[in-house]
Amino acid sequence: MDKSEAQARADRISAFNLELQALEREQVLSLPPDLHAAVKVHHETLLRRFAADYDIDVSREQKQLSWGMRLASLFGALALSAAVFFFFYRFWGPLATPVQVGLLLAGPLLATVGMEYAARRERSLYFASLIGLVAVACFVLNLFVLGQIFNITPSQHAFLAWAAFALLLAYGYGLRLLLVAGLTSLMAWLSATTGTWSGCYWLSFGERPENFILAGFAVSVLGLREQPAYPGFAGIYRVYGLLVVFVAILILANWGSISYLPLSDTATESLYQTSGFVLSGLAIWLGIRRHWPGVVNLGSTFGVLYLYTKLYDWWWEWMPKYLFFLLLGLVAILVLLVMRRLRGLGGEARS
Amino acid sequence: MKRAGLLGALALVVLVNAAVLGGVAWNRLGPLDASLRLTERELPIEWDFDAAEEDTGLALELNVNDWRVSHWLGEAKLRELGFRTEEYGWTKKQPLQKVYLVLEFDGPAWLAAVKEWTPDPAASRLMAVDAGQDARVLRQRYADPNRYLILAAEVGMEFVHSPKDDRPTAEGFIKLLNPRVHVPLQHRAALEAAVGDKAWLPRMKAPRYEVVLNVGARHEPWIGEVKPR
Repeated sequence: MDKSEAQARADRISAFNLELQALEREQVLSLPPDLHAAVKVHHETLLRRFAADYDIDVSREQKQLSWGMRLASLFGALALSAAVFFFFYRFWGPLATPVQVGLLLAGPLLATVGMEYAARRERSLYFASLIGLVAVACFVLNLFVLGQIFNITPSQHAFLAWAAFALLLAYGYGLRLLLVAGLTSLMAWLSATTGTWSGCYWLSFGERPENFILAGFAVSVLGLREQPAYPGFAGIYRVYGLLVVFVAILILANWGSISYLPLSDTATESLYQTSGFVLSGLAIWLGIRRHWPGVVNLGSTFGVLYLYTKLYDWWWEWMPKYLFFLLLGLVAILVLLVMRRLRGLGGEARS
Repeated sequence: MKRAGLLGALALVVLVNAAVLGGVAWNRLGPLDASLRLTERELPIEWDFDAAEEDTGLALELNVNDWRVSHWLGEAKLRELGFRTEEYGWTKKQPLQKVYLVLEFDGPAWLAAVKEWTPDPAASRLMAVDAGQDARVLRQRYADPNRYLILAAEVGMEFVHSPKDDRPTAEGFIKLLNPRVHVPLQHRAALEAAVGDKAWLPRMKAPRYEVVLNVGARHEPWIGEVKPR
């Protein structure tokens, strides 16, 4: 059993107790006192063991606090990473080059060792996650400043090194925050490399959103297969990859002039608007079929966004504003009705 | 897996640093591709008032004079570099291309420029004179390593409407990929002695220092010497 399975069992125990209380109140079911006590003792023993072995949340209050701790860990990591950057730049001037290089190399190594130390001391891994992200920031600083010190021509392959480092730590310790950092670098590298295929220099890769579409698809395809040893990882691949694809399509659907396609701006925008709607529909369909709520929500959100940007294009200029917003409201109600109908059909199919 | 992740991450940091420093050694330890004695006109101090307190590093900035770029970076050259110059009227911008840029110091291009306009006394004499995809071919064409620098750059193209022409004409523009040249600690004292507390003065009438700028096998520059004038 791993941490996520222990957490799932603890959640089932909590739901079972609530339902049992409701059934007893409604006088539908009443367990004999000896059986009730035996179940209670068994559950308490299990929860104590899970809490000791996996440091999971065994109550609703603990769960709420965990979310707060995750957010604090994220903001703390971002703030500490910024502190590392500014600290180095504040004091690097009067240092000799070998000292600068030594400090830059020591930064990610020490932070990685610090992460291992934190992981050994604390099973919930909030501190390990925080220090891990600082280690990635130190490695980014390391290569970036080496480039400055030695006047090295910038290369997109630095993104690949940062991606490999973050992914090694993410898989080593099962940390989702580092997985997101690793996938961000990986997609930047893939997009920059795709950009060079058209003959342009890699630093211009951000000017063509199509470069990101291939990278986003590649990452989301990696999430099609579940990774049982790393709970939640496959979902991050799917949702993050598709998010990048959807955002790129949204930009191209409104600014066709930055596309690679040898079509007029209007034709390019129409093509991407249609593709956006089709892809949103496919994402919702696939998400429902494979029980991926993140993909369903992403598909629905971007489907509505594509629709609203199109309505803005059509109506904003010539329609009175009250009518425009009234129509938006009516469209939202229509979407609600359609989704309620789909939800009802899903319920009927299950029964 | 945890142990493998930890050791893999540590090994990766060491290996990537070794690769980067190996590249630096390859650039600097082999024969020089170019070595020029420039002045403050060509290498002014990069100064940012807002960031001065937050960043104690010091860098010079290669000041490329692109006054006569239109003389050689016309439609024919742009086509040679991979641009489609016939696509005027087409709204899609063509991406920038990576090239090697030839910079000539105090040579015929500068003398021609001086005839065309009265230069500012602080103007850079480092003129962009040619560009190409292959640095070795360019070095054969511009063989003097004490007059010509060959550095990585980007070239872009834009269409310009002129009342004289029937159709827009394609014009190129250039941008060095890495115009900053870091000043290591061993050269800071000489530079600071030359400029005193007026490092921020952007356009001195007479240059205050000279810099020997070396360029190695990877066309990456570094400072060989700094001397007050």
